[in-house]
Formats: sequence, C-alpha cells, structure tokens
Amino acid sequence: VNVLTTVNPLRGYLAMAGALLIAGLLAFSHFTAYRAGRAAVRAQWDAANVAQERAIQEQAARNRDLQRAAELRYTVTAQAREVFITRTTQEVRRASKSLAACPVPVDAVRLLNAAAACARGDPAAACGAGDGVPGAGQPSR
Amino acid sequence: VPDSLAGSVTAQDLIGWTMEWVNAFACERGKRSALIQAWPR
Repeated sequence: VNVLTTVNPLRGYLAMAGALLIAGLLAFSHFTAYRAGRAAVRAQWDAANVAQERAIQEQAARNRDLQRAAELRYTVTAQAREVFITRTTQEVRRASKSLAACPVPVDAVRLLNAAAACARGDPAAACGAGDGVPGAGQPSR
Repeated sequence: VPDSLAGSVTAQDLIGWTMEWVNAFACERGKRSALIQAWPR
C-alpha cells in the first residue's frame, strides 16, 4: 500500500513533483558547472597554445637576427682573408717557379686525393681518429 | 672545397691546390667563429 497516495494523494504528487524539481535543478547545476569548467580549461589551453606559438616565433626571430649578425661579421673578416690568401698564393707561385715542371709522384697524388675526400666528408672514405689515410700503403697501378 | 688532383700534376699545381685547401679551411673556420661570437652564451 502506498502510504503517500493513501494518506493524501495530493501530498504524494507534490512530493514527487518536488523530487523531480530537485533532480532537475541538480542536473542543471551540474551541467552548468561542467560547461563552465570545460570552457575554462579550453580557454587555458588556447592561452597556453598562443603563448607557446608566440615564444617559438620570438625565438625564430632572434635566431634570424643572430644569423644575420654572424653573416655580417663573417663577411667583414672574409674580405681581409681573401686578399691575404690571394696575395700569398701569388707569392708562393713566384717563389716556387723552379718547381713548375717537377712531376708529383702518382702515389702522392692518390694519397692526397684520399685525404681530401676524407676532409670533404665523403662517407666512403674511412677517416676516423687513429686511422691512416685511406688507401695508404697500396701500390699504385 | 677544392676538387681532387688530376692524375699528373706538377709541384706548382700541388702548391696551388694546397693554397685552395688553406683558403677553404680558413673560410669554414671563419664561418664557425662568426657564429660562435654572434650567438649568446
């Protein structure tokens, strides 16, 4: 036997309506809080992304400035060096005129070319620390 | 960076080639040094 409806049907309906109203209010407040929380988290996430993107762009701009400064510095020193090397090359050529016709042995050329390949970073040329010049000791053809 | 030496070269060619390498080395070193000096520590 239902006590509420038996005692007073109207009171029972009112109690049920009240319960439903409370449940509805609770659901609404939870949903509102959930939406507010989600919006807050989203806003923080967006702000963090914007800040990170800005930091990346600022770092890239700083790097470009530093690169330009380095290039400028290099260009200034390169001009003086270019003049010095050109003049030295001419003087060395003049000083070694008597060697103009002296042939360089083929073995020496081979070894020098192997060393040059190593200096160029040619992966086929093994030139680790402690290694000899690649191909050294091999008889020339 | 200089090319490889040809099969038959004279001592004077070798001197020229050596100077090209000296220049290449100085060039690379200059670039590196400019970068190191420009970059903050």
